[in-house]
Formats: sequence, structure tokens, C-alpha cells
Amino acid sequence: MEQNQNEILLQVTGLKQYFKVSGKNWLKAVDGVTFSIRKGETYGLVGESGSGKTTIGRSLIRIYDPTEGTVWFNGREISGKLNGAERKQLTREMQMIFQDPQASLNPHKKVIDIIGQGLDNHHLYKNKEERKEKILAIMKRVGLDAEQAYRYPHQFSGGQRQRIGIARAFVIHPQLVIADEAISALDVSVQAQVVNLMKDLQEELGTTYLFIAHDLAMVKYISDHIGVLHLGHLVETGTRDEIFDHPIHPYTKSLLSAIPVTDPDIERNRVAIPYDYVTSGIDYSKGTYHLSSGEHYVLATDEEFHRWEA
Amino acid sequence: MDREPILTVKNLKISFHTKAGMLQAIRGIDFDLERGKTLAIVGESGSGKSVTVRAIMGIRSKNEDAGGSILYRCRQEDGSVKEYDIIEMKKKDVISQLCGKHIAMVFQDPMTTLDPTMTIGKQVMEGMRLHLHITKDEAWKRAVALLDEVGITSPETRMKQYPHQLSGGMRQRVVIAIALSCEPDILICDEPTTALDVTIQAKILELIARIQREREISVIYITHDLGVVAKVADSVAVMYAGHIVEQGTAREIFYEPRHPYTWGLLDSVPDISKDTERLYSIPGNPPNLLSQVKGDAFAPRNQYALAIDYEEEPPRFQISDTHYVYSWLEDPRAPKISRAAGK
Amino acid sequence: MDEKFKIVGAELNQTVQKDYTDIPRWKDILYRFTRNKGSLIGAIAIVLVIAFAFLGPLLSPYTYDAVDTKRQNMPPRIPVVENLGIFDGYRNGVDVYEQKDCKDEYHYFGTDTLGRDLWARVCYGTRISLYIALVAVLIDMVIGITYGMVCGYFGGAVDIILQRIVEVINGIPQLVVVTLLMVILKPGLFTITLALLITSWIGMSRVVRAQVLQLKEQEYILASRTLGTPIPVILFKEILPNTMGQVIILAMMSVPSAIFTESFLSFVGLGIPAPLASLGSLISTGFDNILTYPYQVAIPVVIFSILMVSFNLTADGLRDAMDPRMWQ
Repeated sequence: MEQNQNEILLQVTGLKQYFKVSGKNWLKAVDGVTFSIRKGETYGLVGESGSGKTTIGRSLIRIYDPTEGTVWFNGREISGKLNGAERKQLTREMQMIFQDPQASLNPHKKVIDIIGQGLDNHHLYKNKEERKEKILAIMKRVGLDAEQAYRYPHQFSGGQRQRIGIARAFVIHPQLVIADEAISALDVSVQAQVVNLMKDLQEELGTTYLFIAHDLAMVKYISDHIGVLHLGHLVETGTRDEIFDHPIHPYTKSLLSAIPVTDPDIERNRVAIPYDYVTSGIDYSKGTYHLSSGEHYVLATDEEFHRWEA
Repeated sequence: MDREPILTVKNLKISFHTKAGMLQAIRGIDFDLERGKTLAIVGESGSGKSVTVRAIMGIRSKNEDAGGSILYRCRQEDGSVKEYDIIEMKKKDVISQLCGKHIAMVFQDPMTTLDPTMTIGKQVMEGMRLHLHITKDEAWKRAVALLDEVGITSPETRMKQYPHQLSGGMRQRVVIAIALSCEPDILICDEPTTALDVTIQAKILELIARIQREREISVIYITHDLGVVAKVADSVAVMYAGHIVEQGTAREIFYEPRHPYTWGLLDSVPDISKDTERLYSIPGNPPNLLSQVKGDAFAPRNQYALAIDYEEEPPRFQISDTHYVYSWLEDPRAPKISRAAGK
Repeated sequence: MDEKFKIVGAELNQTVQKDYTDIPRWKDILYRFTRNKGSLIGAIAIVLVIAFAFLGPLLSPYTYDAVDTKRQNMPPRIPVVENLGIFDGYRNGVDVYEQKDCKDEYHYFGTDTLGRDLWARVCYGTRISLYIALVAVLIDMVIGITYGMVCGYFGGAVDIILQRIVEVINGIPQLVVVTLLMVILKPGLFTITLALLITSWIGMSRVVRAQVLQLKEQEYILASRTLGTPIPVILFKEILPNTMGQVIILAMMSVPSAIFTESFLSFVGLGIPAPLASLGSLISTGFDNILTYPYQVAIPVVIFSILMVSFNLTADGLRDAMDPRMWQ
């Protein structure tokens, strides 16, 4: 870990998020997840639906209160009870971009007020003029025209709406931005536009990303570190190259083999490696994190780890 | 065997009267669907791919004007071929004679396609009883066989279950079974895998391909996922702003694309086998089809746009028997541009 | 090379949009509202009815409570209009005004069975009904919305307790509530207001609660929370505008039911005490003579209908004007 100079911005240890379903039934959406994100980097969290990836993002930003585990962010613990001031500081430093650009914008508010919401809440301007200036500046930065500031969300296309969502998150200059499936509802060419915009903003402002997605090709493109999530457990985490070049966990291998390729000759002959948790004999709750190399950790029992490593 | 395509779309034009004016959703498209083959229509939202499919299914709204023809050639029992023009037919007749029975559709989201208050069995049998006029016992037997065919384990039990008791992948299999229940010739799949996880996507596509081979049906895919296209398509039509800008076999489109929009689309997808430094993205937004499009609709977003692109609509250039493109770049007077320069 | 085939590249500056300036929201709404013919007609009609209710008595020398046994059941008679053959004081071909020897008098809407001038009575009745409508809407808006929003947004124990309270209140029949009130208070407007206050907001609170339950899971509410927006701001600025469509329609529907509740109470002797009248009580007393003196019921019914139709038109227009998605 010494080779990387950047300090750790977010350290998640043993995070559990349970939801009460009925009576004594608990849904274990996230069941003991450990990972860390360095300042200025992008951590890609991949998994299928129901893997708990969205829940992790929401637990971190405290839409949900974590059941167990600790989260250190920027030198403070943010997983326990928070008072008003602490909560406010968290919302100032951590932001979120949502999946559905249509549903994440209030249809009754003008774009300028949607983007300005963070500024309003944290009193980040002296007067109306400064507020407007700041909003127009960020709009320009994300590729929106100033004249669009007084329009309503439904007057924009999907890609433009997602730019509004990005502007809303970035206007208060957060340190960590959680992008929850931020591009999966967009068209192919717009996905590329939005991802590139996010990359540019990161370079300029040094923002840290938690990029939650199910599209592995995109995650590979944008992430420095990757975590693979399955059924509430982080089964493997490491740098991008460690995960893509030397996957160890059978689930990761299966997931990587399923990525579609835009090349007919390869795609038609691609054979996906099957993986079925129920019949595989693997029990995630028995596994512990084993270090393979560098920063590459795998969730496994000793016996499994040696078998997979071989 | 007759060599005639099962479906021929000729100069299809569809426009909608809206409050804000005339919306030209489809501006004259042609394509053929060969018997037993797979055609993928690729395009972004608003390109008109869904409107095209609606027209084939005979779904029309009151404020809609349709021109051109959609010819469906149905093989009769005596071996002769009967031709229907779906545009000319009455909506009622399309629904009673063609939809479900000859042309069936698989939608994107299995959860909204299935009725949550009806058992799986009832939903699979519904179409059979309606179109094939068979007894309940016969329908039950067929439905069980069909569920088995689409890879659903213990079909007898599943018949009595409700949609919410199945996983997403299983639900999509049920939707496919319903689509197949009346033995259609054409199966239209509208983004059949976008709502599913990657690991299940491939299985569903393989299932459709297998059924297609076994039953010799023709399939139209509507998608913006180029991975899906690469996997399943025999031929590919690329749509932009209500137009097919390029059409060819899958190999032609993926290995020798000619239209700058096709280049842009292919370059917008990150390649998992390479470390992409910077992903290409097509600048700007699709045009507003409420206003008259002058010249090439893609020109304002095209870094290789020629002066003439803003003046005149490009004509059709035939590259090979199966490959054609609408782009002025193919004109002998145009400068030679190769795709590599776009990267 | 041909000039036409020179590469000129992309021309992205095609965003020639209308010049959008910051129009305050209420101006936008007012503009949309006035553009909708139906709602404009409705609003004008409401203004006219209000004007009638307050200015009407000035146009007639009679008061609403002066009983005159000599002038019972006089048919309507309006100056000028009488020359057209309507409102001319004739009944069954007989000029009642001449018969009763008061040719120089004009009861615009006629008189009732006690000889009270109906014009004045309808004016006062309309006033009271409008007051009831206003009170009903205000109670719906203030208590119903707040209660529903608190229940829906906070959920959990707060919701369970507040919902049980609602069920208890809802379980007591309105008539019992009013009767109990009468034991303590004397019949009158204040008592009716109090009765409405206790029961009429429950429907609204339920609808708002259901809406909020659904809206609070929307991503834009989550986004507001992650931006650190204070809860009152989320409730009133984010959630409330999105429930307005339903709220307005429901509030408008509560108007006729409140007016009828009042007239029912008057009917059983618990409402407005005589000689005061409301539109509801005028209709119910006029109904007794519908065959002999149809005008006694027809006139308040017409006023009442105009009021209802215009309220609905206005509400529809207001709902559309307040939803940016309805704008073209």
C-alpha cells in the first residue's frame, strides 16, 4: 500500500445494512463489506441487481442508517449517530448522482433552483448575484447553456437532465461523489458524453468517485480500484488491472466472462463461465479477506483461497 | 423454398400531429427481413426504432399519419404465399389476424408485461385459446411443453405460480413462452435484455437464438446495446433521426462501417480488451424532429460534415449487395476519410 | 475540389432557443391560468357570484328577514326585463302584483311562503355558503395537508399514532359531533365551522399521506436529503408542489359536500338559525313548493350550480397551470 501516495478518504469496515421485512425476517442487503477509497480516485462497485450496491451508496450518505460496521470519511467517523451539524457537514462533503435523470429532478422546480439547492442549504453565497453566478458557472462547465437555467426538467433530453444532476452535485464542490448507476438509463452515445464529463471534472477538481454500476466495460474505463459485490458480500476487490487481469473468485470470473463485446466474431464464440452460488458450495459468511497481491483481496476460506489461487 | 423476404418495409413514413406541430418520427425507411434471419435495428431513443416496430405490430394512434408499405408474406398451408400490407389493413384486422398469431413481441420489462394477478399458466394459455381454438387440456399440455422449451424448471409447478414468485430471468423466459405460444413467424424483441443482469442476458439471447433455429422464425431486435447486436444479428440497420443511415450484415457494420454516426456509436462503447485512455463521444444532441430537417440530420454533430451535408440529403450509396449507406462521404467528389481518423 | 465537398465539420450552435428570462413562478402560473378559457370563465363567474352576494342587497329595498304575510309567494319581477315576457310577475296568466295591489314593487326573485324577499335571501344565503366553502377549503388545506404530510413523511410510530387518532375521529358520526357541540354551544355559523374543523379534513389528510408516502421515495427527494435540505423545506417546497394536482381537485370536491352538510344541519335544526338562510336551506325549503312555485327552488339551484361548475373549471385550470409538465 506504500507505493500509493494518496491518503485514504473513505474507509468502510464491516458495513452491514439490514432491513426488517416482517416480524423476525431481516433482509441482509449488505452483509459485512470492507473497502477503502483514496483521495482523487475512482472506486468502481459492480454487481447484479440485488447485490446491495445501491444500498451501500445510500448507507454511506446516510439515507439509511447502517446496522453495523464503521465508516471513516475524511478523518471522522460517520457511521454512528450524527447530530445536526455533523449531518450537515456530511451532505456538504459527500454528494450523489442518481440513476434515473427524470426521477431525480423535481418536475416543479426550475433548473436554476434545482442546482442551487446545495448552495441554499449551506449558505454558500453572499447575495443573489453570487448565487446566480456560481450556478451559471457550473452549468457552463457541465455543458448546459445559461439560457436554460429558467426552464423545467421535462424540457430537457435524458443526457441533459443527467448533466443537471451532475451540476447539482458539483456546485458545492464535494470531496466524494457517489454515482449510483448514473449512466445506465442513458443512450450509448450519451453514456460516453456523461462519463467523459465526470472524468474531466475529476481531473479538474480532484473529486473522489464511488462509481456504482453493472456495466463492467464502463467500470473498467473509469475506475482505478474495483470491488465486486454479490449477495451483499464484497467477494473481491483490487486495482483495475488486478481484477481484470487476474480474477480469482469464481463469481468475478463468471461476471467478466459475461461482458458483451462489440465484435461479432469474438462475441459469437464467447462462452460465459457459469456460476451458481447455491450449488457452488461456497458460503460467503464463512470467508475472510485474503490478500493475493498488492491490494488484491478475495473473500474466501483458507481452503478455497488456495484452490482458486492455484 | 421461396427466396422472398418474409417482411418488406418500403418507404415507410410516419408522422404525428402534436400540439407543438408535426413530428416526423420516420422519414422514409426501407428494409427486408429474410426468413429465419435476425435483423437488429440499432438507434438511440427518439431515432424512430420503436415507432417502426409499432407500425409493424399495427399499433396506430389517432394523431398518426402513415405512408409507404409494410408487406408481410405469410405462408399458407397449401404452400402458397399470401401477402398482407399492414399499413393498408384496418387496425382491428391486424390485431385479429396477425398480432400474436403471426407476429409476436417480447418487451423490455417482463414485470410490466406480465399481469401480476394471473397465474403463469393462464397467461401462457390465453393466446393459444384465443388464436388456435384448442381445448383447455390441450392448451395446458402445450403450455407445459413450451415452458420446458424455454428452459423453465418444473414447468407444472410454475404454471400455478404468479409472476412475483419468479426471478427476472425466469419472467423474461415466460414472456418469450407467451410470445411463442401461437407459433409466430416473426418475433420482435424490444430491448429484451436491458432489464436483466449481464450473466442472465447471454442466456436469454442464446434461448431466443435456439428457438429461432428450431422453429425457423425470423427475429427483429430493437436495441441500443451493441454487444447484443454483435452476438445475435445477421444484418444490422442503424437508425438516426427517423432514417436508416446505414445497413449491412453484422460483419460489414462492425468491421467496415461507412457512416460517421456508426463510427461514433461503435467508438462510444468502451472495449473491455483494451485500456481506453479516452472514450470517443458524439458531441451534441439528436435533432428535434418537430422542425424540418435540412440536408443530413446528423451533420451538426458530425466532425466530417461536408458543406453539402447542410444543403442536401445524401443519396443511397450501395457498397455491396447487402451493404448500403446514406452519406455524402461516399460520393466520388468527397475527400477520402477513413474511420481510424475518428479515434 | 468541389466547394460543396469541403469538410466543414460539426456545427453545434443550433440552440437558437427563445430567450428565457427569470419569470417569477406566480406570474408563470397566472399566465397559464388566464390562457385557459375554461378556467378564466370559471374565475370570472366566481367573482360575479361574490359580487352578487355582497352588492346585491344594495339594489333592493327589502331585507332578508322582513316577513310580510300580504306578499306571500310573489313571482319574480324585474324592471325592463319584464317587458320581454319573463320575470314579469305573472303566474298562470294573472299579474300577481296587480292582484295584490302593489304594481310599483319589484321582488327580483319573488318572495317565499312567508313573503320574504328572495333576492335578499339568496344574497345572504350565497354569502353564508361561500363562507362555508372558504372554511372547508382552508381547513382542508391547512389541517389536512399538514397532518397528511407529517404522517406520510415521518412514518413509523408517528404515523401509527396519528392514524389511530384519525380513525377515532372518523368513527364518530358527524351528526353526533354536531349534536354534542350543540349541547355546549348555540346553533350558528361558529358551531358549523367548529363541526367542519373536527371532521372535514380527514379525507384530505389521507390522500396527502398516500401521496407523500409515494413521493418521499422518489429520487429527487432523496437528492434533496443528500444535499442537506431541512425537513420543513423538503415538505413544503419539494413534496407539496407535487401533491398540488390532487390537493386542488380534492379541495374543490369538499366544497359541495361542505355546503350540503351545512344545509342538512339547517334542515334538522342544527345549522343556520332562521331567519338567516344559506343556499342549502333555501333549496330544501323551496323544494317543498317545487310544483306550485318552481322559482323558489330554481333560483338558488341555479346560483349553486354556477358556483359548483365554476369552482370545478377553476380548479382544473389551476391544477394544469401549476404543473410545468402540462405547459407546451
